[in-house]
Amino acid sequence: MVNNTLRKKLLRDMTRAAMQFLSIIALCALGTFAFAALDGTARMTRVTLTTYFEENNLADYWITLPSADRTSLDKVAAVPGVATVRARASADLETTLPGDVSVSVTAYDGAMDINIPLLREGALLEENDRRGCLVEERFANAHGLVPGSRLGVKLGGQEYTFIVRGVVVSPEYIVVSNGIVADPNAYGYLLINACAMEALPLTQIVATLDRGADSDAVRTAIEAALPDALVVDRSSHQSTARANNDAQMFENMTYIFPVLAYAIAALIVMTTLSRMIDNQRMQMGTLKALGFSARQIRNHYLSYALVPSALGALLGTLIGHYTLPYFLWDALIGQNEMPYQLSPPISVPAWCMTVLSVVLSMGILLYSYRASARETTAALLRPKPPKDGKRILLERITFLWSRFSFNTKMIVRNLMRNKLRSFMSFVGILCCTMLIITSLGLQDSVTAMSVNYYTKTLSYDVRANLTGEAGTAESYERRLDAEAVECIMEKSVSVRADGGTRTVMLTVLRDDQQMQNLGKDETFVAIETGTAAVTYKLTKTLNLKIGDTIRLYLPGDDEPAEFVIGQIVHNNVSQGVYLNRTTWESLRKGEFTPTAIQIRGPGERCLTQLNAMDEVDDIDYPAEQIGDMTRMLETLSSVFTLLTGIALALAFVICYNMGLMNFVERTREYATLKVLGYHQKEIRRLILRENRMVTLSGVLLGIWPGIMLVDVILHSCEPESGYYPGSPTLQSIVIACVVTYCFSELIQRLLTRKVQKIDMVEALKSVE
Amino acid sequence: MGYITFEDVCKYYQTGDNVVKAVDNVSFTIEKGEFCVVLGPSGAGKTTILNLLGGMDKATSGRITVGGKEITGLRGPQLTEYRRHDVGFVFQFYNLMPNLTALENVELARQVCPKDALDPKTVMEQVGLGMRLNNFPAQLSGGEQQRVSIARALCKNPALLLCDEPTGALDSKTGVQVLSLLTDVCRTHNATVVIITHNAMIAPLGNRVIHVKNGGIERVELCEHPANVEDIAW
Repeated sequence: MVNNTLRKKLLRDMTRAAMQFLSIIALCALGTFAFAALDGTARMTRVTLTTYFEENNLADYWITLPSADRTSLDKVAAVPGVATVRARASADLETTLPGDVSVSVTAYDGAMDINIPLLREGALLEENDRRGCLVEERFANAHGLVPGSRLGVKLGGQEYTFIVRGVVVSPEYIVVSNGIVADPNAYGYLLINACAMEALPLTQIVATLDRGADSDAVRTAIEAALPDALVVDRSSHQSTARANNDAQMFENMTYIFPVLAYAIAALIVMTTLSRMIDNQRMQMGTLKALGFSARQIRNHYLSYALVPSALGALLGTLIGHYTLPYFLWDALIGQNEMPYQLSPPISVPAWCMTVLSVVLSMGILLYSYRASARETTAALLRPKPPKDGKRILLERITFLWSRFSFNTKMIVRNLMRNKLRSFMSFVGILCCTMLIITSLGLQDSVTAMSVNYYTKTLSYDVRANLTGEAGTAESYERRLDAEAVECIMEKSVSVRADGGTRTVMLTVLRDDQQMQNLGKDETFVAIETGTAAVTYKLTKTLNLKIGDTIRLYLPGDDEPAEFVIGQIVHNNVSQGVYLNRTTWESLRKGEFTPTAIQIRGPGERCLTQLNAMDEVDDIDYPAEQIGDMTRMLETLSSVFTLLTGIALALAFVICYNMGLMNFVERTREYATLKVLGYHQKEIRRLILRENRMVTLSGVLLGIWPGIMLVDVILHSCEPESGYYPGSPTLQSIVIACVVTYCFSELIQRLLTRKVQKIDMVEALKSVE
Repeated sequence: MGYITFEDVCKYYQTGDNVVKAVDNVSFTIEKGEFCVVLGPSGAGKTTILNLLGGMDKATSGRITVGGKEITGLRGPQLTEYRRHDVGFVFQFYNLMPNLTALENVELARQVCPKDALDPKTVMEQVGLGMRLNNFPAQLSGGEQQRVSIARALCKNPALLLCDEPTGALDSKTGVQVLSLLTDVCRTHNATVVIITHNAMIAPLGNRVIHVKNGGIERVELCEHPANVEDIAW
């Protein structure tokens, strides 16, 4: 009976202060929402990948060697920790399909028991099937291939025709691309039996690890057993690494921005709740006087915190977990070929965040309650003595203070008197500005990075990739019709240093090269002779500095080339080692054989010339690649959009909540002003001016942390091969500031309309 | 025709189906310069009368005039102007701005009507608080706070001073001080003072005592020679 009445009081209180309670619910929801959404996406991606890799037995090593014969296969299989091995042939071949369509053909010598394709349609291959093939799903869809269709591929002037037996996806081809962006119209993959295409030499061994074996140790052992092999593990395998990176990105994202947003929301909720309790002291006294037990009263007030925070936090977690991952997933699979979508349940950390919301709310409530409960009932029944006005420091600077108008003095004193509330509003505004700058800045940086890379780092217009049978650099540079031509040689190499081993790109540039700007901030820097230039991110990954020694293992060569690091260069998109041609030739590790031609200012005949060369594999235009790269970073963009949304919502709720709190607590003051004959406009102007001071300082001081946070978050979600510097544009900063300011101003304007509704009679009569 | 007239003034509050007649058909007049006491038990409707007179509330029907101005006909901003220029308020709980000093609280009044206002410092001296100009309300006693509140009302130099239970929150000694201040004001500033109270002890001070009961006027007493504050038995 007694509790029933209290419950009614709780309900009535909540209805009366509906907006205040709603804003607490909204804040709690926003706090858990961002976390649950990103955490859900991260786990969904991770679980799907792990399951897929596990069930379809993804290789742990891709070993490329001159010949994957019986002996090498046995050597790998004999390494302790290696579970299974399989020899394969692999090559990018042209198809007979109309247009310039090529496929990556992988031929298995034996059963497809490593990287088992996942069948979508049709049937898998029999081991002795010499005519059949399996085709990648998106490629098949793009070209209308179904089980039973025929598909021809060209190898060494000969044409092989295969019958499509099945349409599949493969765990080793999450990312299907020979460039930056997947384009199923132009590129896909084909799985066949080795016996179906004997002209293709077996040059690859895929191997899996025993459960629990040490990956690095096994890798070292394989490298020792097969000195001329290039061993690629999951962290360097392009598709697998990129898929893992995407999952990692979501995981990293989960722990900075959402946690920050959560912290801000929690801070504001706690302030609001503690003020609500302070404002309830007389009622608390009345309940005490009526004979309610301390426990009843405490529990009653605890429900003030429990109900809205539990409701909000739960709502945020559920909505976050069950909606957004599905949207973000779409952005993710835009580039990645995922087999299916597994939805793990709400994770323990997400639950923890939910529970923490409730615990924090109840904690602060208990704390405020205790402070009041310590007072005697009689003291509670008396109105809390109004907080003393105090001389503030500024007043001691008389010459300044005396210049302030009466209203300004009043505003400044008010701000100082309600330090906590002013400060919380200030922090709220600051954080919102910061988060909006961050979310917009992330978007800017991603765009800027693509543009900078393709227009500044690379200062050529065309790049022609060459196959193995390339001529000499001089012949191209002389022959081609263009303003300037420079050949480069790129090789995949294994870099070893004390800090670890990485498979990266070795780029050999002309001594006097002008087409790659590798200095800091896309400035030009010449590559010195005799030493290696290592990219900044790689030095960080391997813990290197200028003067350290690195060893380079070229594929098929067990004699490493040792270098002292002479320079640190900057490439935001790919990491590796740069040498100039003289340094390379002094190594005597082979001729300088161009693998690509960089062309600036191509002449009219240039393209015809390139097309006439058999050895030209494909042609890239950096100007077009900007878009491709931006598209690749779309997964990031979708997350940033989500973050912007959350930051805006948070800004709105915080401004509203703090404004409302201010208004509720000062109704009496405003009523007095009204009675004294202040016009509504004058009172509104006072409130608005006060708010503007807080908002302006919050906005201004939020700029710098916002810019910093862009950098922190970008670095947390860049792949190992990337170095993403934060570069928010002035425009974004201005937008963030203006938006936050306008939000705050707008909400205050709406709130101050309530001045009209203040009932002077009511406000002045009762003290509470 | 008096300075203040109430003609058949009614104020009803509608709560659900119930109509509460806070003030029902009230008519009276108050002359200029009078010290008028509106006396009645709680719930009699005296505060409603003060609210209507002060332009803080609107009458349901009837007509109120102050100095020839019809209050009942004024709209929002005009009512504000009326409160600003014509009326000074003194509240039971003082309603001082806690973060303004005593002097600044008085200056607050000058802010709204700079033309007619008296010098805040002088007024503060008049109410006997010349020494406490720079104290904040929390540093003042109840009686001192009420005197600041009176100073704030006086500073506007209003023709009409409305006091709602000005001694309600004070002990008898300080209550007497405040009352004597109010009677002085009435004499020296030639202001009309209306005091709302349930305390019958104050009644002898009034030139005119209006007894209110159950939302109506019970009777009006006139007194040519009111008692001195010092003489009333508290």
